[in-house]
Amino acid sequence: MTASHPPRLADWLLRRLASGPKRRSLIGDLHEQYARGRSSAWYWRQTLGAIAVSGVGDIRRHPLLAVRTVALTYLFLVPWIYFTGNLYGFTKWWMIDHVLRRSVLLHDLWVLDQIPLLVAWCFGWALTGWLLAKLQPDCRAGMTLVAICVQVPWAFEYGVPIWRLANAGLPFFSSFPVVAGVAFVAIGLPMSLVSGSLFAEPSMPRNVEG
Amino acid sequence: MPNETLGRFELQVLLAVMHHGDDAYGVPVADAIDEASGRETNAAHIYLTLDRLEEHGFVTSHRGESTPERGGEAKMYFRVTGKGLRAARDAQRTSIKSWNRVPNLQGATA
Repeated sequence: MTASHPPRLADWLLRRLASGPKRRSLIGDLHEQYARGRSSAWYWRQTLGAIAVSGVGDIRRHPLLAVRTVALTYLFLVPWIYFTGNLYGFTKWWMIDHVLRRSVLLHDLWVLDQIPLLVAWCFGWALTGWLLAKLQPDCRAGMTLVAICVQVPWAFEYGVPIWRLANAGLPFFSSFPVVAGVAFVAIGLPMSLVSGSLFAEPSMPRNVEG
Repeated sequence: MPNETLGRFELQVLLAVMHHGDDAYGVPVADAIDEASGRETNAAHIYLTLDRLEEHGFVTSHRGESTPERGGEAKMYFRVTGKGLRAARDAQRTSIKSWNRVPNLQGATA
């Protein structure tokens, strides 16, 4: 017999991302089965499966919302990329002259690895996820999935040249920061979208059952 | 669900609802399907299918009671309609006809 309350993180994710007209009953069913002795691993499998099913179900039920999400994602992310890119470019030389010359490590992080730019992108992605979840709280799993798919081509376009650069004969430790940059784009940006979506309140905006 | 016919999983869900009668809500329906198929089914997949069945008028639903062990969430009970019953019978007839056309397979081992 396991504890009566299911894994809290899984439950939180389920309440945030499960959708459909009977999602509250679905959550109740999972609670009931867990209380009757199902394992935590079982609860996690059900949660992740429910989120995936909800995501696909949202897109099937609301194709027009999915189209709007594609438009909104581009409408927000493209200006954000240009704005942060330009801001980074304008301030880079001033930073090199006044701040970064004191530390080689700081210089490399700022100029070679472009950490501030990547962090700003993550922030923009999180903001996009938050905005989409606020606009479509009843189907946030599906719309976040759409937004992730929308940004994949861009991440691919940005990541592939860096990946090639990283594998252009450099020793592993020299290429590691570059590879980390690719990972940042490939994993960090989608995760930022999901995080922004998760932290948008309310988690259960309307009781649409019954 | 084109031409109002049932898919394999939809039929399984419908039969599980019929089997449990007045006590057909998510948990026993999921248990019945797990038992019949011999593998774990995702509860959200069952609800998605039940939504589809309800949209097509094969089942109806009504809210039931909530209990503390359910985290305060109400049960959702399902009942098969006349249309659902006819669809299940049609599926049974079609299946029997199909099997009758291949008598050599009956009782054969793979």
